[in-house]
Amino acid sequence: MTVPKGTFSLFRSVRFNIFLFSILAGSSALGTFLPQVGEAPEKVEAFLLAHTAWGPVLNSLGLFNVYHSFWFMGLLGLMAFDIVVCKLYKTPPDAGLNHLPPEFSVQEKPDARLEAVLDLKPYRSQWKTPQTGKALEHVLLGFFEKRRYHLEYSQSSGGVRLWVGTRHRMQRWGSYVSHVSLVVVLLGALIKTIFGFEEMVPVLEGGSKLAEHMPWEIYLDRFEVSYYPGTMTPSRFSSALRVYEKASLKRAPDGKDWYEEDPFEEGRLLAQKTILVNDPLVLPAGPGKLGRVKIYQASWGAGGMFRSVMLKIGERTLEIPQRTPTLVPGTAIRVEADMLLPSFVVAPGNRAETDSLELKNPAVRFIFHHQGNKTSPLWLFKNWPELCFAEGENGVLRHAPPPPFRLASVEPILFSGLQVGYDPGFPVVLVGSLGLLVGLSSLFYLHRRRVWVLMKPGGSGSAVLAGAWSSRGPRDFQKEFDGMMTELKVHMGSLSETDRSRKKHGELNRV
Amino acid sequence: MNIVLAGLSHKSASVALREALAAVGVPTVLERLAAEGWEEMVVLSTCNRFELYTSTLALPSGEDPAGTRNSVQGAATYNDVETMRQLLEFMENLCGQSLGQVVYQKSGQEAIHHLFSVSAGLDSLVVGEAEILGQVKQAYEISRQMGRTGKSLNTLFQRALYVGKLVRSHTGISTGQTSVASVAVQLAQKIFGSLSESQVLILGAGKMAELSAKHLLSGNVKRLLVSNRTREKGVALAQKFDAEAVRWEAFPQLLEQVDIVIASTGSARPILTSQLLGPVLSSRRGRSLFLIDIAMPRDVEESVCRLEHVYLYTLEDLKEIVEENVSKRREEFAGARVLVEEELLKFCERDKTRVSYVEKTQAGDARI
Amino acid sequence: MEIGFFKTAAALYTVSMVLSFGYLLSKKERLSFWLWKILSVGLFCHVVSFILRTRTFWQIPENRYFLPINTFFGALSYLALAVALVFWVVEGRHRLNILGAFVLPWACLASGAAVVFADPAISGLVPALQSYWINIHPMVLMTAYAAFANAFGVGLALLIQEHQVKSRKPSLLCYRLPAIEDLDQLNYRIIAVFFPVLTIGIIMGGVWAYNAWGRFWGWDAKETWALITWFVYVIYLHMRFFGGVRGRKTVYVSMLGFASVIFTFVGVNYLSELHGYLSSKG
Repeated sequence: MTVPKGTFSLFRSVRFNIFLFSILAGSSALGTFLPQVGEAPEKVEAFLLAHTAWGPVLNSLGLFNVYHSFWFMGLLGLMAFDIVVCKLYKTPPDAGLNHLPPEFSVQEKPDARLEAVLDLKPYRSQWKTPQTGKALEHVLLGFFEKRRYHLEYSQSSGGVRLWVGTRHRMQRWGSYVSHVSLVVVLLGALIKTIFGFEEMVPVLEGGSKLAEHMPWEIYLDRFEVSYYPGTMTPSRFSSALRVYEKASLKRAPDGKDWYEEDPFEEGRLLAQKTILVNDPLVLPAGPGKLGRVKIYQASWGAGGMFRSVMLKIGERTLEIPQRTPTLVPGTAIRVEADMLLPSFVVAPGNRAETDSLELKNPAVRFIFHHQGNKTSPLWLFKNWPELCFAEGENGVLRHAPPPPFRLASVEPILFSGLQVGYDPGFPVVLVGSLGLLVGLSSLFYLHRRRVWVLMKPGGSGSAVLAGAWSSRGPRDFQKEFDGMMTELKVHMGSLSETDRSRKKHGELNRV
Repeated sequence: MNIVLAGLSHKSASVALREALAAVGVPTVLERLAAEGWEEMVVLSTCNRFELYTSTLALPSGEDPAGTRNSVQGAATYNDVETMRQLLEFMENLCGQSLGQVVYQKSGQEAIHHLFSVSAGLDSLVVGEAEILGQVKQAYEISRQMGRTGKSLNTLFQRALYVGKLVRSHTGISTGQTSVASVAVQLAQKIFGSLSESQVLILGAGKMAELSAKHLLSGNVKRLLVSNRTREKGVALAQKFDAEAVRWEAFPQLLEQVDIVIASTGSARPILTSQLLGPVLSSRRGRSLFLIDIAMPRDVEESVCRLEHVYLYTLEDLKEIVEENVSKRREEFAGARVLVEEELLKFCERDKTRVSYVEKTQAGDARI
Repeated sequence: MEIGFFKTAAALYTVSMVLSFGYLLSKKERLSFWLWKILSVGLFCHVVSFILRTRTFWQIPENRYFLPINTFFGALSYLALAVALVFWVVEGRHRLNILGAFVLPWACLASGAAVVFADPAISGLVPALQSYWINIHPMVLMTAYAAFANAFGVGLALLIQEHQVKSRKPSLLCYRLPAIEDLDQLNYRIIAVFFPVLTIGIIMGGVWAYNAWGRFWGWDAKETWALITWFVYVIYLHMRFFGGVRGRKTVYVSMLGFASVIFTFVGVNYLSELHGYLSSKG
């Protein structure tokens, strides 16, 4: 494959582009196989601990944060640059064999040169017609109109005339617009990276939290989750929010946290809304910022805190608040419930862990106190009354016979995972995306065709030369071209109707 | 009624004789037969055979030895023998020669069997060829249109055409091309699909080149180019086939455009080498190139075969394919023959019932 | 009843596939006729099962009026339908039933996997999916995937045919398969027509994610692999348009693209396990 000469020739070579795409695709894939910091930091930690040899090597290469690493973003930038360079040389885009190169002006040597130019066209045809002048022009223009060819250009000199008609001219811009749109999309992404932010603000029900990027305090008045009957799959969850802007919030000297100059300031109520997953709260971004900040209902869970649990002992049900040893009536035993795991799993090493923050398998840890002695902690399960684990000294679990108590219900304090995001680049990305769609559709769904027709008077009529160019291959166009030429010939009186049907059935194919 | 046939084929007669008979033309033959009083007659006249089919209930009028009943299963009776003699006489008059040993004569079941076999392509030079079926159909059509067929010949020929199609679709008798040129065309079609947009370049202008041109034109290509070292021969060949003649020095440039190249020059050393084709291929942008090397010694370097998008077939390769196809057809021969015989029996059974019905009614008439 | 119709459809697809193998290897036009008819009936049954499933789905109030493709079963079902439908339309138009042997296996595989491995139970949509986007985004993407399955089949046929002709000893199979250039052109056309569809699908995913979670692109496994698939087909298109490469090499790339499609659809679900495997080793 020959590499084009000139500056930036490397960037314009197809091999390089393909190489670039491959590297981008490959590194993206790598990021899905290795744990990433943004998604699961604890898994990254675990990986580094497990692979002391090449773990840190991978880390230094940025492979635990691929998509935000300098080299990945650099590759994206390189791709954008590459596109610009490639397309810069073709602004405006290639018209697909121009009308006529300047040297082939009709004034000079009308016949010979023009014919030679038409010979370059992959599709050619020529014939003689008894008609001349205006009549011929009329026929041709009518033909162009009927077939929806836009008459792009016509020139005449010394009796020789040339017409050029094109169909679906829009296709010419397809590749160009697509590529430029990609750059726009990347630009939008860049804008977001520089100017945008997103943060996760988990707020406990009944509580509030300060946002990091905005001087706001977000109150979660009420968090509701409803389940599909008989399952633990949530059907709906919503947060009733109040957002206050606190003028007295200032950045700490280290630039990271806020500190409240006036801890008693309540702030200005910006908005109050109950948000759902697909229905965020939209707020103005503040002075000097374009676009809006949105608060999304991203997730929710039980953090491990709970108001109380209900323990069923024989006939009675005892309500036990968190970390409050409660006396069992009629005995000298006090029961303490100190930990809640919302979705209990036995992790490697026989440890108690949770694999989700949603209440898929609630388990509560109980400790029984009796006259100064404590039992080993026992785990009881809401969904599995017969199951019980005893937790040993270093947290190791072992099976234990279930005590005569049952965990009837848990009232966890839920938190709502709010995503606060500001993406000024999104409109740009959207525009780029639309451009990409228009460009691609135009490129692949439109069939651009161009027909040159040259007529020169001669003998008792005129000689006609025709040539064509198609943006698609001969398979799509050859038959159409042949059909068009036959039709033209018939209209021009060069071919009788019977000949036409003979030709149609392939008998006169090499006319 | 009985079917009688007299004829000659490539198995017994010389080319000259066959050509002489074929030259007369079927309509003319039918007219002459009609003039001599033959009522029912089908003339099957091709370059490989000349056969006359008639039905003995339709002797030239005035000659019907009364009382002689012919059944389809019986041996040739007096009527059949007489008919065959008259047919032979007619043929000898037609070609002006004595035909004695060359002609075969059949009647009754034998004749029907022969026609079925011919229609199925089992009697052809190239077993299972498709052409003969069309020729039988044409022969029948002409006779029918001229009113030269009656019920018996109608039934017979319609059945024969059915058998011809049946054998071809139920056995492999007609699969696979059996001439080098048609194999080449078929392969080209497997590379390019329809050849109507293909451009063909013929290098050389000898007999083989000419033959290939003829066959490829039947594939209806878009453009045919001829290039030969000695310009005159190239131009002559080009004119013959309405092709474009190209200067020998200019042919390498054409390699970028053409799709199929037939190399049949007399060159002692290969003219299409990897070195020559290498740069051409990259400018072809991946379009396939089919090289058919029918020259001896080879015109195309063997290493060319390894180039991507290039398909090289030498004369040996093509011949091998032809042989394979021919032997496959031969394998099918036995099966086809069995099928023909089955159909013959079926046909005769039906005819027997018809004949006995006719006999009964005629007997009934006679009684009245 | 819905499952009954679906199982019938899956069975009919399998029968159709078997017939297509037979048609490829023998010459009986009858097989082509029957494989077509049976495929049509299978498609009909499949559509009926889909409609029935949707009706049951809407009995849960939160599910109105969304399409039931929130489970693996639903997705596989739609995928099988799309593959069979694209084949029915594309190859039907070009009279290329012969390619059934290369394409229909995917429809059988998808519907068979649904019957054997996936749980057909109707479930309620989780809140994140309760949006009109679920009626468009997954369908668009899966239609593109189905088309790429078709392209894979065509590409495979091309590789076989090319090998056949190149070998200078073509077998009977060579004469059954379509021409090399035709297959190459078809492979290209399928990809060219459905590449914008893939692009739209990915973009829709981004817009939906923006509306639901506040970020257009989060580089999570599913998104990333859809993008990787996109990149592979971009490579294919560049090779063809700007590199002047055709035939074998481009088919390899298009097959790689399809492998990526499979991974995007199925493989990503196992990635979290993979994560776990990688991080707990040692």
